[in-house]
Amino acid sequence: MAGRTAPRRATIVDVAKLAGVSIKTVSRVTNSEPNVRPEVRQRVAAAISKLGYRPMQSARGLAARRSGLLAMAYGNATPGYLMRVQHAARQCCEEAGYRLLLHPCDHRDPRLPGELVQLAGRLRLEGLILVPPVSHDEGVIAALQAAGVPFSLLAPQRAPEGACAVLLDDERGGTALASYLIYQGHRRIGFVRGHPDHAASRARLAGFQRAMRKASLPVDAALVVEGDFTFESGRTAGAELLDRRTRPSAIIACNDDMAAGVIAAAHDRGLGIPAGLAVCGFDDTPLASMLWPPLTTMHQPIGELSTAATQLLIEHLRSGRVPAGAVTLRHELIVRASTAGTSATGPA
Amino acid sequence: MSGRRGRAPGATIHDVAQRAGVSLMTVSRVTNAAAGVAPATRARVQQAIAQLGFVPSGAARSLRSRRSMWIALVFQRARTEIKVDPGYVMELQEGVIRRCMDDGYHVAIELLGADAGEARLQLRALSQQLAPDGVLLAPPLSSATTLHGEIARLNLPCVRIAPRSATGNTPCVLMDDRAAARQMTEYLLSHGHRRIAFVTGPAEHAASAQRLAGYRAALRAWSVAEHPGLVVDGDFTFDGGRQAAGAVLGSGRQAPTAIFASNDEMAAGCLAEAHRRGLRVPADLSVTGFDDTWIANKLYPPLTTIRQPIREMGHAATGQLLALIEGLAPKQTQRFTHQLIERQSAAARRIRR
Repeated sequence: MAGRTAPRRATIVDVAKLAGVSIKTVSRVTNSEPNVRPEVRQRVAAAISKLGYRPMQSARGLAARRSGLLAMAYGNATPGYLMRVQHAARQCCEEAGYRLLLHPCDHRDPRLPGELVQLAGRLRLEGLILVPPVSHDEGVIAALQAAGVPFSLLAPQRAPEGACAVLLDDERGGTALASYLIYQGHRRIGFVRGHPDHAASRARLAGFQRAMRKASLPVDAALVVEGDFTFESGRTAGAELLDRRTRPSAIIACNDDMAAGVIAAAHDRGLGIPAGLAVCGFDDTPLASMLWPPLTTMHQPIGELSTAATQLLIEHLRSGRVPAGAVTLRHELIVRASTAGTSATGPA
Repeated sequence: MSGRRGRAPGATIHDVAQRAGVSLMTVSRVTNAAAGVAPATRARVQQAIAQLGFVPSGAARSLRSRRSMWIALVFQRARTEIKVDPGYVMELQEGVIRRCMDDGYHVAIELLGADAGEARLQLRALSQQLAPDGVLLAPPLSSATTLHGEIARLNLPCVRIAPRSATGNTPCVLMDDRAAARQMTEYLLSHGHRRIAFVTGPAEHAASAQRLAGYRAALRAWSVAEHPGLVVDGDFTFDGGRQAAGAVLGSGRQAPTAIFASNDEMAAGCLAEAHRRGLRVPADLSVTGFDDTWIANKLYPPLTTIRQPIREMGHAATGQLLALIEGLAPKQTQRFTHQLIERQSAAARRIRR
């Protein structure tokens, strides 16, 4: 193979040679056919992306692929989150004349990449919208790319080149929330992390730490506690932080469900919020405004994320052009009564 | 492909389906080596096929080819997105989708306008574009008789979810909302409460009237007079619950010692209003909900409520629909039982100082 990139467009023969498989196998992978072992599928996928190979659309009957059908693949998430994601995507689809299929899936199942590729082939899906945690699955992304199934990623951990993706700047969100608390006069701030698998949780923590450093405040490692995005883990983490001899004056939880758990732990100890403890969450799910006191949180523009991801995909399908690149959206700070400096009524 | 080759007498696809405890479509998917059947199910079907000596015919294949393999789950479009209780919708949807996936069906979630004429037109368009094999009607549409005529005209198999009444031409899944509300009210009565406020749901939901009837039945059974001011209109939203609680708690010595809100979101609103007034729940005021949706155990204190098996109901309704589509006669009415979930938002009435 030549040292510099060949000007010639890569062919199926090149892919087969690089992956060490037959041409038929490459064609099976690109046509979303079953009976290809996952390792082989992955090897072919790697060769395809390395060579920048694009299967000939004409050979696959472009017209026959017009099914007007998109699918949304999603895993476990809170109902409020899923509802908003689905609502926004469905509205976009309706306006553009597409129908949206909902496909719940188990993101830990190693067969998921094959399952989604098969689904696309069987239903002649024009494209897939992947919702976290499915959008974090590198195996799924590689398989769809290899099979030539168009997709759009909602808040992925990484945006592959040339893919439709809408990112959320979680680090910036973490910084903004911490800066707000520091401005309110908090110096000892506890932090409840989300599930360690989620890059969003890591990015939010990094943002928090950056804000602390910028304000020349020490980041006390003992005040960063593990959680897993559930209410129960938030309650446990809250209890742990509040039972310290020198407890924090404010706690940031990486999502609203965990913040609700921290609030419960504070109520259990008779601690007034926000007088005794300020509590903040992330996401602004419907729960945030139903808690007492109502929760200060970083609003995740879930509807906008979903709308953008769907629109990028539809534009890509219509124009046939490679998407220009990922779009990045930001959180918005929503101040409610769980932090000081608001018109909290009622007893502290 | 001609079918009848050495098949054991009487062994039909129906026998295989029955022995394996699956639908005809699942058997057909297995014999056609189609995807989308769980390995355990596939093994069970293959075992039944072997035991019965069944040889698949082309008939099963054509059965599949006549279908679109789509069903529509139909909701009423809310005036605003937030008005819909996401907990209820997502649970129901999940039950329906999971059941469909077992049989290789797909689900289109469709929203119809609140206006009856508009809804009929949309339904007709849906049946032309998607050609669904059947429809599931979610509340409140499941009680909308105006839609039923259109469905019959379109010759669409249909199953109703939680309709006002089980009578009708189409099968349904039901839960006894009246009995559930009666049990919750009696639970509060047995804890010494006599002034129990009730927050109603919106009139277009059949469950609203049934839950109110259950509350009233309990009061009658306990010979407790109903205070007219204690039954307050709500709309199944958090804000509606908060306003309703504000109205009854602002009435001084006449204020209730317990509030039974007829869904969880309204109960959350009642909790917030109680907190705002400095009332301790449950020491000063008991609050209970209905549905046991995802928020119930995240509120403070965690909500005592009625668990409605929404996901299971969606699952069962889909099973009935798939049977109808396959030309079988499913159970006309499937009843589900509720469960009172005791958490920490209700307690015995304190003697007033």
